[in-house]
Amino acid sequence: MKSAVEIARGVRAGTVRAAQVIADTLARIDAIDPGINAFTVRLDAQARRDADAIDASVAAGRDPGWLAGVPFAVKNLYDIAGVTTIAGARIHADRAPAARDATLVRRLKASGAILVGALNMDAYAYGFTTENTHYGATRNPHDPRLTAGGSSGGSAAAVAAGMVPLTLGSDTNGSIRVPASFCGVFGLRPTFGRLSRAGTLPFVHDLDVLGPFAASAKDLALAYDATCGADADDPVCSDRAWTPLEPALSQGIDGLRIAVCDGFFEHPLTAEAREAVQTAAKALAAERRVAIPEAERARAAAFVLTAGTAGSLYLSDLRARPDDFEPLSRDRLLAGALVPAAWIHRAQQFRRWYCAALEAVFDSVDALIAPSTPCPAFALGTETLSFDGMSMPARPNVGIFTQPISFAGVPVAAVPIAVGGPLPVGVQVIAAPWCEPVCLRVAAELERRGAAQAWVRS
Amino acid sequence: MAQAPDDAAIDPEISAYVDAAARVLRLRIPAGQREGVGRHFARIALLARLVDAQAPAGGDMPAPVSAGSQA
Repeated sequence: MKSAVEIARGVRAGTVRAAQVIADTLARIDAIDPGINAFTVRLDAQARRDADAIDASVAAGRDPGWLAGVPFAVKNLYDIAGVTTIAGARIHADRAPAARDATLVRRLKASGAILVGALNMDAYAYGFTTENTHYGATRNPHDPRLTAGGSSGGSAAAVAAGMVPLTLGSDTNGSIRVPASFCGVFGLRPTFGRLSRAGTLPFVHDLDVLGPFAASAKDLALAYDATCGADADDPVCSDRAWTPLEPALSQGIDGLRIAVCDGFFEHPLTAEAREAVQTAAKALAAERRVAIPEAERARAAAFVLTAGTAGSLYLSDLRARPDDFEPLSRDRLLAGALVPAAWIHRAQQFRRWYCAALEAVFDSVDALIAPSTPCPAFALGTETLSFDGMSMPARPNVGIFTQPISFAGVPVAAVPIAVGGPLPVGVQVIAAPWCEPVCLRVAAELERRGAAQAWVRS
Repeated sequence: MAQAPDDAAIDPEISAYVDAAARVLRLRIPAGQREGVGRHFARIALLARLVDAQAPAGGDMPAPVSAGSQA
């Protein structure tokens, strides 16, 4: 699969026709997706029409946009005009089709990218494995017996399988970073409030962030640059000035103070996940170790806030039509609906303290490295994980290292590390609020030094 | 092999709370799901207790959720 950069360069120069790019993309999805189940909606006819329009623009000498002809797909919690937004859940299947595209979809299209479909996910975005009873599990492109991770499993798998070079997902507690790690692709969870969430189905309003997946830091940066900007349709979206990421990629890491998270982030880890952190640290010559204060408590608070908010969000449907819920998350939603307000308020109080404490860490450090997942991908249906002297329920604990980071709303790049095993595993590159360029500078440097590489099926 | 701290057992008080709160909220919990809901609620309760163990130093204000206040 060609990168987004290569495709756009060729289409803009007129050496490659967008129509051919789309024809090749759709043929590849036809061939590969039946074994992966990443796509839940295909938009073949619309994509062909959009490709023809791009080619006509090029032929007429008009600027077709920086992402001209680049195929992309989005997690099925993004609105697509004319398509029902389901967020992986059958309870949403009878909603009216969306009247218009989500803001980020519109912005990618305005840059010349071509939407080819919607992607599978854990129902409601409540899960880390994309095991979906009603729409089928998304399988890991590197071994179909394994989970692709979740909840943006379709978004990560579509890139890792070489079906599309760019996708969009969402991350509440790790739903970009976990599947990026399991599928071996790059992902970005920007600062809370950086990218507009308008036109997407929420999960936990106080934590939800949207972001891209790609096979390189450069493609990731292009997707971010095309989607960034204020949006009055999302009251949380910031109008703060932003820095394009693409120019930052060539700046290297000179002057950046990089440290590795220790303490909570050191255990439990498989040998592969530990090796990934060590490989990244070695490549960056990051010898300093830093403890994020109260990371375990932050993870606990994120768990409580998520359970209570999600249970409340779906309370009326839980009353009226409980049998239509995803069986794998129905019990969790019911339990969450019973959470007393005092626990949620307490979690938010703690969050205020924790955000300040984490920001203080960034007084002396510019970037932090931490594992994305405690292990590489495991078999679909796994109930218990056992390694590093620990035995724990699989589904709630895959995000044990991502939850304390997203709870503070800071930006994180998910970076696939070149480890020696048969499966990918990734690390998080974490920066202070609004410092997405730092995350991408480090990710790009890891790529340049051969320590990071996307695992994309040829 | 150690169990993860959130691999919680179901306390009878938890079960009683789940049953009572579900009735108040008019939530029907079928018999086959009662144990699962109880187990998940016990896990949330355990983690809530961990959060509660730290007295917040930031006063009574909850966390900022608007982007501007995180700047």
